[in-house]
Amino acid sequence: MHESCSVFVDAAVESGGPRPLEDEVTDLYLDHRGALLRYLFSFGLSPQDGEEVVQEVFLALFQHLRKGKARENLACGNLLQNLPPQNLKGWIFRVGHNLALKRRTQSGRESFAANHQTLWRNHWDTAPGPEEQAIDCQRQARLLAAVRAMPRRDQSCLHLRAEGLRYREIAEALGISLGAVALSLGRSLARLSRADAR
Amino acid sequence: MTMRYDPHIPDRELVQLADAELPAVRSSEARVHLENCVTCRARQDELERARERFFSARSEEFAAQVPAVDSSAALLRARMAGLASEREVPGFWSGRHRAALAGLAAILVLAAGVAWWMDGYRRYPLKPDANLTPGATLSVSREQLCSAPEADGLRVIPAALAGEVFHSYGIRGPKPRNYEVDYLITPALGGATDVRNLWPQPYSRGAWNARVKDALEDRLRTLVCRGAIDLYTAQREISTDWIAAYRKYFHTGTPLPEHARFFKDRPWE
Repeated sequence: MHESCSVFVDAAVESGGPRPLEDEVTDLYLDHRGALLRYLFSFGLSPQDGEEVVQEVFLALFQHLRKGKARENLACGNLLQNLPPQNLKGWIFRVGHNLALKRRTQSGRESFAANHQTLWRNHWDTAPGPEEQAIDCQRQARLLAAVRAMPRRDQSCLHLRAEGLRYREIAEALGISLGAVALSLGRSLARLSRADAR
Repeated sequence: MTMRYDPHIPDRELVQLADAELPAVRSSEARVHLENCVTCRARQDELERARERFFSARSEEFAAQVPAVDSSAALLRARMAGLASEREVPGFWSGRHRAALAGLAAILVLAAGVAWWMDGYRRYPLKPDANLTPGATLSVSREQLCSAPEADGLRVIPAALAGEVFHSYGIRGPKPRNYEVDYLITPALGGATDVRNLWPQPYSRGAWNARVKDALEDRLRTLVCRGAIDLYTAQREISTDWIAAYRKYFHTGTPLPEHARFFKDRPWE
């Protein structure tokens, strides 16, 4: 049995029956909220917009599971019978990714770019004085600027990897092949190492 | 035209190797090559250094932007309950009545949800309350710690001290074996047996539970004793935000499956 599947089954057995769907979705929300928010910030979303998108994602998950759209894994508990567990994280990030793109299109790219720049400027301006920290800050600025200059797909692969997603989950989230994920990460880290060495 | 043969491992494969995503056969070949190739080892270090620095810069930039979880989980529960109740309303309710009922239900559920969440957060904290558990350390050196045998699992928190910890967190009648009265800074990293360094960490609170923290404690001690990080850094990071430290040192956003059943410290009983 898949590891995450067995965890849910164990929980159901220990508690004497299947848990309410709301509890399962809330646990998933608590586990993934921070990572999803940070990923959404990489699109330049504000904390408020990011929080709204995260809520939409988990409400969509709740609806999706209630409707039982994809009964592919009947061996698992009441939650996972409706969603293949190996795709769960990929599914969450895919929906978040699509909603972030939609929101960015609706509000105009410029305002998001400005928001992103402001976040970074605040970070930079508040850096304290010692020379070593200033050098670190400059290096961080170079690396973040190098990432922002990359194509959106490369940025997404990097940010999703930074959140601990496996290549299979990144591929699921972005709707691309495993090979494309590997190529993207190899290319992006090569660019980062050049920016780091400057 | 002649193709130029490059004997070195391409960047893509070095990155895949570090991510444990390279196919097994190629992975073995690459490891053998790396043992004998200074150039590839240096390149691998460059790529890993760039990755670590980017992840660290990103973490610093975004961490402060993540709002506290507070009522957002309760809001989600209320909205889920609202969606669920929409389906359960009998058909004879007209649209206006149905909307009013759903609105009222949502408000009631939101209030209940906030109360539920606050109660749950108080009783089952993912992280210690910084006011109650700021952390406390003994005055010991890295050499002293690393030369001593690790004995966390054998340590027993005195019952009176454990009672004081539960009391300070407002937990009445805690269920045996549901918690670990855990050191915020483990004695393996110089943490003191002091009420300021102890908190009730549940086993059941989602994925970020006591077993996962135990795995982090082991990892940090190993890194300190190897000289990869200094003792003060390890103490500071585990006491400031142990979940962020776990993500940083295990390179993952969520706990690794093998750590869900990691066993080191004794449960409270």
